[in-house]
Amino acid sequence: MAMETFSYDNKIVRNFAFATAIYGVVGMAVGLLVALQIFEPAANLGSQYTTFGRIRPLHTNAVIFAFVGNGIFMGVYYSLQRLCKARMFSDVLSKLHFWGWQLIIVSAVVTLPLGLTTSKEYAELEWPIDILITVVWVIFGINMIGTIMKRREKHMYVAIWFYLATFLTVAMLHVVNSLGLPVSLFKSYSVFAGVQDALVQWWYGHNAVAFFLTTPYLGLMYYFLPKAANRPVFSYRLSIIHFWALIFIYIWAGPHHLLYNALPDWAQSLGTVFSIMLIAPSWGGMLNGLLTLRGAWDRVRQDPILKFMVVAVTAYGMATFEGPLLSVKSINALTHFTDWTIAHVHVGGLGWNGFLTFGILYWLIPRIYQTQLYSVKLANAHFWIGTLGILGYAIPMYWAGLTQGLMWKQFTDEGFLQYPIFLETVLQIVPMYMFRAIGGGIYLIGAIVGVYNLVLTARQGTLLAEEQASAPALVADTEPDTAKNVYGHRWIESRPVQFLVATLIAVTIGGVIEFVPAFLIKSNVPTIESVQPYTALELSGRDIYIREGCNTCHSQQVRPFRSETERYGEYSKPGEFVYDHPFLWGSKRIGPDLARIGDKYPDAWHYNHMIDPRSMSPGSLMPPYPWLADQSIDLSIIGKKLSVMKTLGVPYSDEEVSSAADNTMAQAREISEGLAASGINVESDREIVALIAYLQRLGTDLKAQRVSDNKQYKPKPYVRRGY
Amino acid sequence: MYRQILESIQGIEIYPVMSFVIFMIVFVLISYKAFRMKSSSVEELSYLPLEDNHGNIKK
Repeated sequence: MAMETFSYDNKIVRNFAFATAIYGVVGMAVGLLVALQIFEPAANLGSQYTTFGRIRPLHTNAVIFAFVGNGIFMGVYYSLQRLCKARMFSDVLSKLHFWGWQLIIVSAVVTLPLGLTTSKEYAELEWPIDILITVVWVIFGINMIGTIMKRREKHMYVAIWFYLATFLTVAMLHVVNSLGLPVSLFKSYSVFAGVQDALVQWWYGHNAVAFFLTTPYLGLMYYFLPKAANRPVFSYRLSIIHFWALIFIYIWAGPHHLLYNALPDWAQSLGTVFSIMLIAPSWGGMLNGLLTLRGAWDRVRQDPILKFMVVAVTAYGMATFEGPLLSVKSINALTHFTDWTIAHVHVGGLGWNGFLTFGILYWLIPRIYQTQLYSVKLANAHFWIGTLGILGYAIPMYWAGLTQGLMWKQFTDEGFLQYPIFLETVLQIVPMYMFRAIGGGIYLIGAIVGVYNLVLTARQGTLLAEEQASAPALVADTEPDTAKNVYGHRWIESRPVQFLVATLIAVTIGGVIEFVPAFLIKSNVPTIESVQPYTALELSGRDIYIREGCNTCHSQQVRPFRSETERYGEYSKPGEFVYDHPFLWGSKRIGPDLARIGDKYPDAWHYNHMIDPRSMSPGSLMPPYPWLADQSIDLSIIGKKLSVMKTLGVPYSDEEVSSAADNTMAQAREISEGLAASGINVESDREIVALIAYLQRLGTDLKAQRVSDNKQYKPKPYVRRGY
Repeated sequence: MYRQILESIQGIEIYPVMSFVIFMIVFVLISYKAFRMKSSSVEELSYLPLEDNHGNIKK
């Protein structure tokens, strides 16, 4: 057989590796900043652009899509070429992919602090960037599949299956969850509303964890762990079962993010059952990784790369055991909305993704730079600093989550809430927030040490940009009986197209079965008669709420527990959210739930609370929002907003759309006059007025219904619709 | 409340059952296929990542 010579493109691997290292440090530094802000609001640097609600999404996007994202591409571009014994399909596509991805990251860094956000977690970027993501992702896909097509190795190794599943599923998730109608260049509304939007978002959110943070990294584990240990994977058979079971089950588990929320019971149960089933494939994969080191544990003691990988795989095992437990309804009742979730994701993020990334970087950089690691001692130091950092982060957060969760539910013997003031439960865990920041800071120091070590490694070597290799050409199957000889799973392993189709079927079934009934409900949700669309001013206020990221700290979802109905009011009903494009249920309560905040306090209270939260609730950790009293409501766009909402099915009349700006000002004047009567002088066109209008509306529709049920329904003193 | 709504959707009770059945079939099929693989071919495939030699590494 004729040998073909070719070269591997190491330059693209180097580029992605550098981007990984840089964004790792940047993303973690932003994380540290938000961690400081939680217990010291002044750490928002006094600017709206660096306030928690806006830069917490910057942190999550930076570590997920910039750090881990570049890490995925680094590992894929390195391993795919070698597993396929072929250069990447197209150098041009490789470059477009690299620079396109960096452009997306830079766009996020610019737009998120500006408050341009959809509010959907891990999908905050607005529609033009969403389109760019789609284009770049497709470029990545073409480049990857093209490489597989021209491979010189007949069989696709297990790592490649995970890469393919990642590409396919992320594409599907991203497109469906980002469906929205633009209002302007940087504002859009989700086409889904309320319950449907929540279901789609957490189908996406959960599977972003599954198919962006997990499957590609499992692919990397299956390649780089055997490489670093210099021995094959423990069980190839197990990896087959691991792969199919994992991608099949993962897709179903999304609803476990919405337990006890206004979501159908059966969907919640489905989420729970499939989450628990997930333990099996997850642990199969973890054991497959750990057992690969059987007989090589002595090397783990000396080799920092293996140390990083062992802790990474162990953290994967812990997080994937904990995840299903948190999906059990009775446990979730305690942990949801608390810092337990934060601890959980950071065991996965810092341990699994972070440590595997650093392990791969330490292995890969010396190789493409034809040298040895600058300092093994420093790498060992990084390992111990990082491990200490993970513990220093996770333990305080578990403590905080458990403490606060218990305090929220604690009743006195007389049957009253023991801690009726939400703030009490926050102040109790402030020391834990401080420890967490220290833990995170330690991890960041470790990362900086690591990057320093890697830079010096690169500087002492020279990049082998074109790595020469040779392999025999792949002979196409011409004889009809060849396929018969290779039966079973080996058959599909050498057929990328069939493999993609099978994967697509596996990940689609879960989504379809979950969604079909949920969308059938749409026509069956009992419209609560008193639930009306927001007025133009309230809608403007809602968009300010989204811009400031209020939903990162405040939920709008009262769960059906006595401890919650006592604290907040009536539990949330699906029918309440039919006009909510997007839904704003939230996933974490750093502050109290706001679903029933309307009419609870006077307008003046809200005004003073926004300007200086500590003036109204001493000790509050909420940042002040003084700019809301300076900035004016954008009246030019409000008509368009209503018209887009109307297109999406919100029953606004043509008259309401055409006179949206006038209606906005009419209601705003009423509020500012009311404020003036309380001695607060504020122009009626200020954003704070719109936000107050929105907050005062929250939950009031349901109260109106209750009054109406008692046949005492009287319209509110001001007319809500159609000024 | 939701239970009532869902009961009004025809055939809703089949969904959870269907999910489980589909999963079990896929799982059993894949496991069967995996265990039916020849040991020699399993060995060969699991060595794929270790095939390329890094002659350029100074070790």
